[in-house]
Amino acid sequence: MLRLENVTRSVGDFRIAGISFSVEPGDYVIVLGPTGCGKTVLLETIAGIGRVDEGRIFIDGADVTRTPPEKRNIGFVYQRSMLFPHYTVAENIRYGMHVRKLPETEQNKRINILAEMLNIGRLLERSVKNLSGGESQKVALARALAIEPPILLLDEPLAPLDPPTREMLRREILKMHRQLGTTILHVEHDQVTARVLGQKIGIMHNGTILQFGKAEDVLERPDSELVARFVGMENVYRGWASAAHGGAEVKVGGMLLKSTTTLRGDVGLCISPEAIHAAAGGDRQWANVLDGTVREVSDRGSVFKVMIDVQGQPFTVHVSRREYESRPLAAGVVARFGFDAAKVHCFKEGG
Amino acid sequence: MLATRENLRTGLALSSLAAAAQFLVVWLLWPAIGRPASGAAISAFLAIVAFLCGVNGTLNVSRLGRRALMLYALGYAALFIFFMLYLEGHVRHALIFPLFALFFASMFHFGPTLGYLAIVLIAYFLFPLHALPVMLLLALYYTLFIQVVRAARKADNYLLIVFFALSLLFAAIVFFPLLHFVVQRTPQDLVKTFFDKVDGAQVREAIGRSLYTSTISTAITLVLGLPLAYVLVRADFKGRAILDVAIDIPIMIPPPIIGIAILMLVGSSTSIAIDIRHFFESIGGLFGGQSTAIGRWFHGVKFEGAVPGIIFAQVLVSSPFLIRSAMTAFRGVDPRLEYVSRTLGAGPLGTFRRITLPLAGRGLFTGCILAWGRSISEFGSIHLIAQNPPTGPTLIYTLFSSKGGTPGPAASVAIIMALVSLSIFIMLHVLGSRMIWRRD
Repeated sequence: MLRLENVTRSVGDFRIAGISFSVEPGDYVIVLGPTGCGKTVLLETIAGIGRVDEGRIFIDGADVTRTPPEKRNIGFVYQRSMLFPHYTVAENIRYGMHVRKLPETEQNKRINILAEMLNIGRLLERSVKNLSGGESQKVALARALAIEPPILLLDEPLAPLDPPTREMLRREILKMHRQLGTTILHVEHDQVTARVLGQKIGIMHNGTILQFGKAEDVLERPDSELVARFVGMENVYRGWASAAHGGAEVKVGGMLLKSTTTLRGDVGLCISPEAIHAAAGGDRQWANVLDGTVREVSDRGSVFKVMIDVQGQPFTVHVSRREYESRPLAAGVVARFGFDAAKVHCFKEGG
Repeated sequence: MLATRENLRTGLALSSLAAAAQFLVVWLLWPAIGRPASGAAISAFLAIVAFLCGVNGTLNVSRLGRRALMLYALGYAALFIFFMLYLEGHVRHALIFPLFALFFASMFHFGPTLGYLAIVLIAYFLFPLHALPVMLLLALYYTLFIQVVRAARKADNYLLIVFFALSLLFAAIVFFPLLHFVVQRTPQDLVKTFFDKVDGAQVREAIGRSLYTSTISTAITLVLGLPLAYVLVRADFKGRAILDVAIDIPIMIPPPIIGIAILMLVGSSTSIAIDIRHFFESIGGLFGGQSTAIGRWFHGVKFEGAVPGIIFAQVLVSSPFLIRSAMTAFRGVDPRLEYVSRTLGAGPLGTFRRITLPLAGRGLFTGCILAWGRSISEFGSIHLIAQNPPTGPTLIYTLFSSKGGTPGPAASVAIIMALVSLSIFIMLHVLGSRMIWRRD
């Protein structure tokens, strides 16, 4: 569907370099990266806004590296919807079809279908100037979808919205993706959105893609410290892995942690804060058990974030609200925590 | 404080008392301090006025409170002192005073309108020789001032009021000479100058020539300057900064220098002028030479002492205004809107036409108005290139110098010219903001 080969481009003193990945038909791909890592430039480059310096871009097997944007047939939605302010909502949605000289009846049909799908029917005759953030984004989506692009590029469409609207639009996008089967490439800095929407995830940092793959692979098994930190693995360490009966043992500081890794020698390792449980009940045997001093507890809504200290090594644990309320942890107490060997994920050191 | 029976009684009593006191002052005290006597009849008339004003205060103003009533009485006293003491108490003023007193009584409810009353008084009695322009200027300024005060209250920023008050000086320097000037001839004079059987034709022709040459030169500047402005805003290239500065050069060069430069390039005897003439004649030849109307139109094209020279000079001096405005307008269009349009299938030209131009429209229109205004006001270079056929400004200068450097008949033409261009200027602005872009 979409394939990038070693795409490199400089914009001012900013640069994206050596970007290669491919997107299959019907995929929902999220490129996750911090603000300023080149996500927007990447999307613009794919859409044909600005030429690449090196590398090639293929859509449906055809080389479009030198094709101007108007010939690429790609849907594009900017972070701040970028609606044409001198048109009404309906005229905005009609724009692409009008330029393509589609028959009027077909144009109206598509506008009605999209308006119903995105729930913006009552806005059609309004000026775009007094739409709310969520409405603007939906109109921008409808405008991009009206040309029936095989691939849709979304540039952080949820970022400017307040949380409830964000949740609503996230659902609308998901519904739209299921209904139309459009391939979507969505850049995002928010990992919650990435988890909810992404079937495949690429992690972008400083103009390069660090890791690209299935969502669960990237989120559960990061292959470098940067990726591990970016997907929310707060417990990232370096250690030494060696064979032990039934798997491996990783030496981290003074501790020996059981792991299922096949790597040996110097490794990086990470443990998701969700994978670590308060283990006092003893109803389950954990492969790894730690006694830690609680340093700090903070309420994060559905979970409590507990910072503990194990032999001078800091750990972050997410304790579910229910678990926490049945057995509160206060700063200074020593508590027991446990986690599975499979949750100790190792990656090559220096990756 | 409602007009209860008791209040009413007090009010009427006080009004009668005040009226009686005023009657005595005007009738008896006046002659005693050396003022001209007013006579019993006029004194009685003025007393009735005072009584009526008092009744009005009792019935209406008392609702606004004791303080308002006090201000009302003070205002009446101020008017009385102004007319009867300051203005020497002539019979003439004794008759105008009741008029203003009754105006004052009826306008007191609408606080801001009292300002206009004050303006009329100031203009007519303090500046009797310039009453009309002073009144117009002050009224205009006062109208704006009320709005500014309201806005400043809303923004809770009293500095705005102070700054605006300071701008009175600016308004006086810029607008007073022009306002004063346009009321120097009666409308009858102007109509006579414009439609005069003998001299009217050349006035009409000159002003008409000014209007159409400015329009043509604005159109030319638009066609040539708009693309340049767009390139300078959207493209980032070496030499951009130099071009950016070069655009403004015509503003800095004195118009006579521009005139001389144009004459040295395409004046009658230069080889370039001859080449251009031959070029146009050969184009005319394609349309049948001198035997057809179009062919004749191309025959004998020249710049010196001709309309093309006037337009040449106007384009040169007005281009910076249009290009600058156009650049600002284009800068205001987010390039991402253009990108989105491209991804939706519109090519660069289609995007420019459908998105960029409409969104920059208002700014471009303003640029055109500025360029048009600069063109119509150009005199220095046109005076060197073509004194004949005359434009408005060159005709005014010719009339001025033929009368030995006195305004004389030039003033009438000048006022007509000023009024015509001013009204077109205002009309275009209103048109620009009301009709063309009413959507935003």
